[in-house]
Amino acid sequence: MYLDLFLKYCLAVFVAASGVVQLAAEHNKLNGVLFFRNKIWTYLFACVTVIPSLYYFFSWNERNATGVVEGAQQAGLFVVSLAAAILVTLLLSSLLNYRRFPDKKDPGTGIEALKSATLIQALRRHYGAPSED
Amino acid sequence: MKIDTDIFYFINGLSGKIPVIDELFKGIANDYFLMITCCLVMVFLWFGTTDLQKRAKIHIAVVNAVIAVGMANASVALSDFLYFRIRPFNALPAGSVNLLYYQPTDSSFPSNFAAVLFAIAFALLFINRKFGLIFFFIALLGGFARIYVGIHYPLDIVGGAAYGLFACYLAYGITYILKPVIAYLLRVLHNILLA
Repeated sequence: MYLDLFLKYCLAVFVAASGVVQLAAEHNKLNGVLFFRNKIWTYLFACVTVIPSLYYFFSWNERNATGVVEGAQQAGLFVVSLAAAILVTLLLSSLLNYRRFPDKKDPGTGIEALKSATLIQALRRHYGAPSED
Repeated sequence: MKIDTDIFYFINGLSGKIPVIDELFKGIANDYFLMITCCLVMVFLWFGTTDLQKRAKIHIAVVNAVIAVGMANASVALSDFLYFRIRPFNALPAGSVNLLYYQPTDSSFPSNFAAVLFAIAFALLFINRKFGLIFFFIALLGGFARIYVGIHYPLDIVGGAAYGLFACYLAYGITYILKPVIAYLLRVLHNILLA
């Protein structure tokens, strides 16, 4: 039962965090992180991921009256789920935007680099691996 | 304290009248919704802040908030070990409390929920007043909801806020002492394009 609840918790955080990262990427014009080129699709994606997930947590006690996931467990599960969401988002967006950024200049470091390259492209261009972009 | 009980009765007495409002506060008062919302807002701020200087400050504020949450949890756990206050639904006469929530078994004072939310709010307030005030409002709303559903006295929430502030100062102290380590971690994140 606990494992089932933990998995549901992780999944809901994963889904919500994926939506929030897309929303933040759209707001900050991090084009290399976006799943969609059209901002309406991005906002729609954020809505269908964040709102149901937050509602799931809002109504958590209706399904599990005594809570069950405690503070320290919650913190650990949240961090793991968030890290997974960021990793999956960056890898998936790298695949989806593979041909979007033909410019092979070094995009620099930090989050700003994701405005003109995907994660994989930016890392390869910046750290000097032979480019096949 | 009589005034504490009186304020508790006033706020808790508002519940049980309008079912929609009761449901709203039950959702706000649970251990997940506001915590996760606050954390997701911090994720948004981490990636979504457009101004470079502001973003650097936000990153430090988020690191402080994470440390402050840990400190708040630890200080409340220590406090629970030293002092136990019976929950209002157990301490006050039967039938006088509208309990809309399950019955927690840990100490009523201080509210761990309030301590964590206020720790986040103070950590952000010191760096960015606008977002700090938004989080402060969220923490106040959460505290009010915990009284509304009948699981905390007002003093528990005030105590939780004080623990949150204390945790925030501790977090700043830790950040100051560990400045080179935190700077190194942020540099690593910067190099892998995450900061």
